[in-house]
Formats: sequence, C-alpha cells, structure tokens
Amino acid sequence: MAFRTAFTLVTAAVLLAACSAANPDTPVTTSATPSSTFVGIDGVQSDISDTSRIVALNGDLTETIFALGAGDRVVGIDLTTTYPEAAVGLPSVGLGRRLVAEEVIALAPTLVIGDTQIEPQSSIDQIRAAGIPVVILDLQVTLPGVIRKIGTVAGILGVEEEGLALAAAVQADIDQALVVASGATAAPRVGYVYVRGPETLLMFGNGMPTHFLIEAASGIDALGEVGVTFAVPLSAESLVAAAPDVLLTPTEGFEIIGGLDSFLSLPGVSGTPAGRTQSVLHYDEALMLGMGPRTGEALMQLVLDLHPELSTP
Amino acid sequence: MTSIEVSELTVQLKGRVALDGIDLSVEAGELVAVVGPNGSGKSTLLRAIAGDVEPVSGAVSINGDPILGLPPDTAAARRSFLEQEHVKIAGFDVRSVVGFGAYISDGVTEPSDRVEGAMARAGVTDLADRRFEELSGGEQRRVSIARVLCQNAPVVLLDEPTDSLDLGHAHAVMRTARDEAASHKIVVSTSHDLNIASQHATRMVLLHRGRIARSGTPASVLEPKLLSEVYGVTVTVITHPTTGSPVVVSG
Amino acid sequence: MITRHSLPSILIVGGLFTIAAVVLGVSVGSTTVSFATALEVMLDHLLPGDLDTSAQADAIVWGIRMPRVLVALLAGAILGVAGTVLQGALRNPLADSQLVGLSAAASVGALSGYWIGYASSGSTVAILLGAAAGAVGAQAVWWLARRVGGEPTRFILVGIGMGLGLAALVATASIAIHDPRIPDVTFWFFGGLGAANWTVVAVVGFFAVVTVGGLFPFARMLDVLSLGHNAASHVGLNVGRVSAGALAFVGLGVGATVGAIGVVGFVGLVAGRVAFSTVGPQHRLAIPASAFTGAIFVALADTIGRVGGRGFEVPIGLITTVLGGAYLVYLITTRRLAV
Repeated sequence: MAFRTAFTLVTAAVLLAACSAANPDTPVTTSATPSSTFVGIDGVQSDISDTSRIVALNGDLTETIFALGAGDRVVGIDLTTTYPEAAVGLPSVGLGRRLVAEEVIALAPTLVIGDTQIEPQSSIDQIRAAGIPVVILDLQVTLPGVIRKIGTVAGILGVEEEGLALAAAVQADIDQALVVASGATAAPRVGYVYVRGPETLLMFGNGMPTHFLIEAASGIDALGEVGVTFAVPLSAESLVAAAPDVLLTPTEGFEIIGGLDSFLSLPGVSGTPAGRTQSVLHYDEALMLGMGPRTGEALMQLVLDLHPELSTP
Repeated sequence: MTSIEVSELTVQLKGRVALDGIDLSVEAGELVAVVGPNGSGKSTLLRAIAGDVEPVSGAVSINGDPILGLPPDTAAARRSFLEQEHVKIAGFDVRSVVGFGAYISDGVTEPSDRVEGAMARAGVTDLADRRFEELSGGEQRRVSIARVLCQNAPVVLLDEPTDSLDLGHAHAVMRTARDEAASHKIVVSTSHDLNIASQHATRMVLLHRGRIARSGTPASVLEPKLLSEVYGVTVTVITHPTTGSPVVVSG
Repeated sequence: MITRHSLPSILIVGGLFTIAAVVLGVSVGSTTVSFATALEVMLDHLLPGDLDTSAQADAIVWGIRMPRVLVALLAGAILGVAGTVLQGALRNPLADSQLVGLSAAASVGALSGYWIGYASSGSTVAILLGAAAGAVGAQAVWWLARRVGGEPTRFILVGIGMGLGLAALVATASIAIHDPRIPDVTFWFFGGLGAANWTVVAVVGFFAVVTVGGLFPFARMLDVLSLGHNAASHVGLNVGRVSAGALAFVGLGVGATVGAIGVVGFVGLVAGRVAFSTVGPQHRLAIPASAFTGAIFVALADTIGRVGGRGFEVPIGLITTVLGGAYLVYLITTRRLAV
C-alpha cells in the first residue's frame, strides 16, 4: 500500500521533471548577425531582426515610433498611450506597469518594447520564454535623454534616417523654447504634485522629468530644493516648506478629484503661495511626463505659462 | 516469572516529597490495590512503576530490569497503563481505539483476534462500532481498559479504573483485573473505593503521606484504628454477610 | 467510524477531480483561448506526434497556464497534507500552517532567498530557503505546543500572535528594502502564482513528493497519537520523535510553498477537515485525501481569481481565506467542530 503510493508519487515526480527539462525558461538569444540584436538596459540581448509587429508598453515609446513613421508596425499599446489619435484605437494589453504576459502573447508580436518601469519581471520572462523578444530601454528623464531615446528607437526599427530628422526637429523645438525662456525676468518657484485619484498623491522632485523641464523653463524646482527626490507621497509639511508660487499637476488626475476647489483643499496646498493665489496649472500627463517627441512643445507651453510677460501681446 | 521490585523509592514532585523510601515487591498472580487518602502518593507510585517519573533516589525494576529511561516501545512490552485522566479521542471508533493498544505488535501478529478478545474481557463488544467520543464517561473508561488489555503486557497498571463506573461495571472491571492477574500477570491498581478493592484484591497497600502504612491482605490492612488515623475520620470495619471480606463503614 | 473507502478509490476519484481542475484552470485566463484550442495544445504535448497549434496558443496554454495550474496543484497538495498532519500531531482541529505561524516563519527564509538568489535562479533559492526556514519553524511550533500543553485555543492564539508578528516583520522588510527582486507585500499576505514556470513546477514537485511521501509512513503513528501524549507513549509510541519528525516534513513542504507562491492560508484547515469528514479518521486515508483536496482547492481558487480576466487577478490567498473562513464559521455554527 505504502509502496504503491510511493511509486505513483515518484513516477509523477519524474514526469514533472521531464516536462520541466523539455520546457526550459531561457531568454531568447539570437544566432543572427550582431547588427540584428540589441542589448537592453537589463543586459538581455534580444533579436531585433523582425520589427514588423510591435507591442509598445509605454506611451512615449508609442509616440516616438509613430513620429518616426513606423506607426503601421504597431499592433499593440498599453493604457498610458494617449497620442497620437491613430495609436489610441489599437488593441491595449493593459497597464505596462502591471504587465500580463498572456495579453501580449495573444497579439503575436515580433518585438515588445518598453522601459524600466515595466513590471513584473516574471511577465517579461514569460513573454521571452514564448519566443518573443522584449527590449527594455533605460528610462530617460532629461532633455538630452529625449534625443537619445529617439536615436535608440530609430536604430532598433532600422529607420536611422528618419531618426536623425526627428531628433533634429525635436531639438529645434526644445532650443526655441530655451531661447524664449532665457528672456524671463523672474524665476518662479514651481512644484509638481502628481494626482491620480484621492488615494494617489505624490510629490515629484529631483531626478523626475518635471525637475528638468521646470529648470529648463527658468523656474526653480521648489520640491527638489527641499530635498524631495524622485516621487514620494505628498507631505503637507514639505509642501509648505517648499513654498511654491505655482503648482503643476496632471489634467487627468486634476479632473478626477474634482477640479480646482478640491485641489486647493489637498493637504498643505492652502499653506503655499500657489494655493493662496490659486496658481495651479494642469497639463496632459503624457505630454508633460512622457519625454517623447512633443517635449519641445511641452517645454514651450510651460515657459509661456510660467512667464506671462513673455507672451507676445 | 514476572515481578516488580521497588526499592527505597523516593520521588519529589513540585518541591514536595511525594514518595518517601517505598519498598515493595510484587509477584505474578497478584492483584495489588494501592489505597490511601488524596495526595498520599497513589498515582505517583503507579507512574513511577511505569517509568514515567524520575526518582530522587531508589529504583524500580520490572523482571529484574530497571524501567526508567527505557524507549517507549520497549517499556510498552513490559507494562501497560490506564491513565487517570479522561482524554478526548476524536473520530475513531471503539474497535480502532482498542486496537491502538496493540501498536507495538502492529504487523507482527494478527491483532484482530486480540482486539476482539480484549473487548470481550472488558465487556465492550457491543460498543465496537460506536464512535469513542459519543460514549458516556463510564463507557469510555471501559473501552480504555480494553485498550490496556489489548496491549497484553505482563504488568498491568490501572489508575482509578472504577472511576465513572456504576456498581455493576465497577465490580466487573475488578473481576477482569483479578482474572488477568490469575493468568500469570501482575495487576497494580489504585483505588478510592476501599470496599471494592478489598473484595477483589489479593493484596492491599495503604499509603499515607508518601509512605507505606501497611501492606498485606485486605483484612490485615483494613484495621479500624489504622484507617481512622490515616484518613482522619472515625471508621468501623464489619464483615460482608456473603463474601466474608472486610467492609469499611465511615463516620 | 471507519468508512468503506479504500486507498485505491481515493487515488482514482482524486485523480479524476485533479484532471478536471487542470482542464478548467488551463481554459481560464486573461485572454480568450477556446476550450478546443486549449485541449489541442495539451494533447499536442502529452501525446506523441504533432498537432498543428498556433504558437501563441501554445505559449499561453502550455507556457503560462499549465505551469501555473500545476504549481497550484502541487502547492495545494503540500498545504492540504500539512493541515491534516498538523491537526493530528498537535491534536488541534483548527491547526493550519498559517494559523500556527509556520507560514510566517518560512516567509522569513523565503524573503532572504529572493533577495540573494533571484537574479541567478528566480524563485528556486527562495523555495529552498523557505523550506529550510519552515523546517526550523516547525520545531519552534512543536516546542510551543509542548509548553502550552493541551489547550487548543490558547495554542492557536499564541500561533496567530507569532505568525502576525513575523508576517508584519516580513511585510515591513519587503516595503523598506523596495527591491524589484523581492515580491511585494501582497505576496507575503495573500500569495501569488504569477511567477510560475516549469522550473518552479519541478522544484515544488520535488518538495511535494518529499512531503507527501515522507509523511505517509507516519500515518499509523499519527492515528495512535490521538490517544493523547500520555496514553500514546504508554502503548509504545515515541511521541517526541514522531511529532518532531512529522512536523519537520510539514515545515519543509510548507516552507517550499511559501517560497514559490507566498503565504496562502486556510488550505490545510479546509483540506484536513474535508478529508477527515469524508474518508474517516485514519491518516492512511486522510493524508492522500487531503493532498487531493488541497490541490484542487488551490487550483480552483486560482482559477476563480483569474475569471475577472483582462489582467485583473484576485490574489489566491484572498480567495482561500474567504472560502476557508466561511467554511470555518459553518463548522462552528453547525457544531461539527468542538472548540
């Protein structure tokens, strides 16, 4: 009796082990020529010889691909993609930051591209185990980084010429905004408060894209100045200590919590100069935080909003 | 031949002396009733014979070998034990519980005959298929006795076997104990009930404050002056009209 | 009451239900794969020969869902048997690996395993360290049980206290360390099957064989243990060695599951009670019965959690706790559980 049970169990174990051996989980490595592989920021070498069906897991990457003229290759996007119009209608795999492997695999892509915000690692592993290359790019938060990103993506897609042209155009936009910003007479203290809903209230500081945009727009990143680094939960004390003259926030979240009155009643806001003068500016989230091809446009908008004296009458 | 040898046994429990220099020899064929007031050391003596307590001095041996420190299975071959406490046994039926007594013989002998025999000797055959936890306190006690008999050890130790039993069953149990002893075994039983003990035991041992006050036939132990002194209550001893054994009347 | 069930009948019935659970589990997921397609993929892999199946369906059904269902079954089997043996060894009908704090103890080892070993081995080191911590934790449980004596309620309270304390420690660590290598807080409180792959199947499978196979020989001894420690010792059982030995296997197995799928509670409680009430008190039958019950319970709970689809996944431990908790209330109110 005991022997029979043991025998059954051992046989089952052997079968399972055999199954496991027959289905190893190894990331895809390529045997193709070196130019058709790409090593991502995670150190994994991916086969990029076929970029005909792409799933883009970040909104800024989708934007970049479309701006490069390769939008027809995109077969799947994620929920953070809000631009351009043509992309929004494509099949969505859900949120890249909560990646579900099945959703991606079902679209039968030949390449998946995302940045370091993509999680969890196990889903990325599962997609690779299914034979689909996943390229993970470094997250870019600076203005030079935007240009680098365009170059990297263009290189992966094999559209270097278009990449150079797009990079030049975006750099021109940025430069134009910087020129205008150089004419500013005052440097307002600016704080970025990220709102997504009543429960998600964050302060953005040093190292966030908003820091670099604010500084480039001749403003002072007030939150960064009081020591806020990356994104941290909103603290009324820190907000008051930072004393921003202007508060920036994403439009989507701003509307979800109920507009200006609700925003002004968030912890600490009423204790800031921005709160007292009701100086709150809201911008489309993808535009301001994505560091994509529209960055120059976003920067110009910010410059003009922060320095009303610069607008041509 | 089966024998128990207790020599100069002294046991301390929770700081106080529970047994003080006990000397006792028991031979096969004896049913020894250990009696005495509460706290006189009856259960402690039984547990010492079982090998469950470590004495401060002195020793206990069964068949010439010390009982202390033996591995459980070896000890179980030498002696069986009916505990005083009533334990809940969930799920199992009476036949299974009785069968647990034969644990050390599992697979070596065919135990079902032994189980049936033990149940018959304890008078619980009619309860065989009932769940243990559904039985009354007295029924559970008799099943536990059957379990002890099923173990078939040469030394049988019973701690308050007649606890929860009505008159009829109490006598039946003591008769079974006497029969066990008669078949070349030793049975040592503690008892609160002096009269039931005196009717069936071949020998009585009266304990008083951890010492043996008297050891011998029931008639010699149940002496009015001694009992009054030990129990602290006036006692008269009369003779049973039918059996002739001594009967203790208190008050 | 010994029922008329036999070991072969338990294996057959259990096996059939297990196959059903596999088929169901593999058919449910974030994307829609038709039942026929799923079946095709399964047969393609299980039978010799080659069926024409799409690469995507194969990757989804065999690469993602199948390992997940298998890990759920294997972990559930371990947890189910653990519950049965804990209830027997601790003489406590409420015993369950999470309730007595064993899962929390194992999670300390598992967390360390993820921290040091994730980059090289995924969850394998975490499973091994979890198993080791579990085996150690089991000895602590036994020591605790001996100190508290025969009072079931008091023991459970102490176990809950110890378990919550350790769990809070682990949760704090996972938040404070904030490293992508370490699974997040939900994993440590409610489990997660998202990272299941064929390697995990093999490792957990190994521990399932060791645990169930190692505990089965204890069956008769656990039966005798129901007499209570005193009487069991008197009939010849080495109570200390049997309890410590059985608990060591339990700790090893439970620890491995914590490393693989996090802390999933109530499986042992439910599986143990269902097994005992279905096949009777003999551990020889209850151990395999609870292995199947636990396996199917966890697999079903995982499937239910995924029914929301579109990436929305209810953590498995949440479902087992809700269902298990309801079952516990049912047992108490209908007096099937003397507490």
